[in-house]
Amino acid sequence: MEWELLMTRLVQGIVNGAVYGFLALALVCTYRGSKALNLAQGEMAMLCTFVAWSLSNHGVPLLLAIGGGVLLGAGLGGVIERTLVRPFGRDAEYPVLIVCIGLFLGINALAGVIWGGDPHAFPALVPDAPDDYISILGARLRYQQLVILGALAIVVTALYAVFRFTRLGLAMRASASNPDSAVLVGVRVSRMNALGWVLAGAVGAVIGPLIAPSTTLSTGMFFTFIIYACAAATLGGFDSPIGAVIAGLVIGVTENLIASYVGFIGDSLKLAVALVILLIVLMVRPSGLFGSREVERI
Amino acid sequence: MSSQRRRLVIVEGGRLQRSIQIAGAALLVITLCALPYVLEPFRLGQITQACIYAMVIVGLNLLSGFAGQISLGHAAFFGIGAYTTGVLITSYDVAPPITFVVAIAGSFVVGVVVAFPALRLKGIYVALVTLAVGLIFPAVITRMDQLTGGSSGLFGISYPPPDAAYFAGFDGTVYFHYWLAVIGLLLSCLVVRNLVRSRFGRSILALRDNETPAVIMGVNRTAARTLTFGTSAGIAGLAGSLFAVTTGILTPATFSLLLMLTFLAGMVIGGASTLWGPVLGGFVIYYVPQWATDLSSINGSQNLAGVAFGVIIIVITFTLRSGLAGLGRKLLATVVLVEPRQPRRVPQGTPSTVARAAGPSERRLPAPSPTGPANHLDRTGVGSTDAARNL
Repeated sequence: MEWELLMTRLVQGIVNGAVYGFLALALVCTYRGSKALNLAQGEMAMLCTFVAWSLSNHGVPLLLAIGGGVLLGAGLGGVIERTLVRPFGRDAEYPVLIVCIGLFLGINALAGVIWGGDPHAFPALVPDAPDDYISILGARLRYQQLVILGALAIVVTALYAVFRFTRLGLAMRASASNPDSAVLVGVRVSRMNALGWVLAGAVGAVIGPLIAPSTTLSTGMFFTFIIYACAAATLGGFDSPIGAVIAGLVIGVTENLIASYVGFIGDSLKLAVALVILLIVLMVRPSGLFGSREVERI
Repeated sequence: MSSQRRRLVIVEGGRLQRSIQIAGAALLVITLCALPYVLEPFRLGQITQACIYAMVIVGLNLLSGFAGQISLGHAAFFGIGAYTTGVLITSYDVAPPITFVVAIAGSFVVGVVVAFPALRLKGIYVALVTLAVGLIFPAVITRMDQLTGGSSGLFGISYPPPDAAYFAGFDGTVYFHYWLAVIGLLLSCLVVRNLVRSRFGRSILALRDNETPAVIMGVNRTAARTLTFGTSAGIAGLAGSLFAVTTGILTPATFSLLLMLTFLAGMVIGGASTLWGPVLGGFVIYYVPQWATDLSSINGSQNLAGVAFGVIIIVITFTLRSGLAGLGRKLLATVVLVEPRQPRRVPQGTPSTVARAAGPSERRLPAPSPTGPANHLDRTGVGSTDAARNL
């Protein structure tokens, strides 16, 4: 019995962690190029999820509808980078953060205007009845959760392959690590940054429709996830995609275990666990577990 | 060019400027005294709430405007003040003015504590620290439900007005709250104004605009940062106390992510790093949602205000860095030219190249920019680090 509870918590933690990792991955994609913390990432994903929902309500098959949402997310990311972020140039963290906050408020409210404040049910991709699960060492892993884990694995593998083995990925890594030199050897750095935003928008738009069946679709659905994602991205190091995913999983598992075994914490202070992790990382090792340390020459 | 046109010239520190300032202050006092007689209690209550929001933004502006450290945690400092006052009044029956002092002290201390991890960090990392603090706060309040009422809220916080004819009856309570908020707001504006114009203010501006040289020149970074954080949080805490006694009900959901972002929006809209902008900003973030609800009856019309805020912030960040206050100043500059204060005359006999170059016949030294404020370093606006660098 004890064992089963532990396994259930563990599986729940891994699934939650996958969601955090997903969104953290999107944050990292934008941060690497533009050095911007896109607080509006969750809201962009929310908007795409709503669009996918509307499409499927108009008779488009769910998978295609989600694809439409992802395309929109990618486009949105690109447009935002080109029109609202790039004009500030490099070294403009503060104004860009303010712009992202403007986007956060604006997109959140816009979705409220269009679709209203009430939560909607979102159809699941795979059968999601109470007994649609597979059993792993006594823990129940629902099909939908399996889809989330699968999607994360595919996205991470694909991104890794692109970054590691293609010319494009090399160019992106170059422009992230040393923009000035990258420009000199002919890399179109600003285009690479835009591509980072496009990827981030798409990645965010993938996760939205996958979690919506369990969280229900509402304008506030990403409020807590974006915080967890910030914590995960910090723990992993803001410029490390793989770090973001691992840190997401770590945070998901840690908070679930702490919540179930430390009586005082309980479910209500789960978020606080993640935030305390964030604070500790920032105090002890601001560059995170996998991030590169920034050295400044004076 | 506008310099061709005839503009009213005011010499800074001159008699004309003094009299304008005194007239302005008198007008402000008269308006503030007259408002309770002119407006209905409901409208006065709205002004009270707007003043409280404005106070938070005045505090926020000290940290995120003048000191350039973006804070996403001010809803928490606001909430700490509110809950300190609320719990002390409802559970321990402490006199409200004492709870205000405790609230300010409490928020100040938490602010200083938050400043420590933020000391070594820059940019978005400071934002993340404050974000974490801001979000832990409602969770902790919900958890400590025996003291704070948890998610269902804390009720029955009241500050009975003093026994005077002016404060009698229901209207009297409204007047009392109004005066509390107005005095609180004026006090915080005064504190921020004096701080910013002091040696301390110059040191935080220097730290914001160019940290390393500032430290080399002898600015005590640790002291400046922690004090800024503390003071900024303290002001937000006082605003929270006033919020608690004027509304009477506190719920953790009030102090949400959305509220913090709205405070920041107010600061940017009103004008970051300006003295009066935050007050404007406070009124904007309070009144615009109200008007949006009045304007249309469709579901979620509150959201129209959110869309407007989002668009306005982005537009301001692009075109009008110093917000509404900056806009006001620009408009004013088309009719009025404020000349910098004249340097004191150098005492005779002192060897000074400036005095020799000017010669004895020229009594006034040439002003740095007689034609306009073109060379004047604009220190206002969002993330002024680059505002200063661009010039």
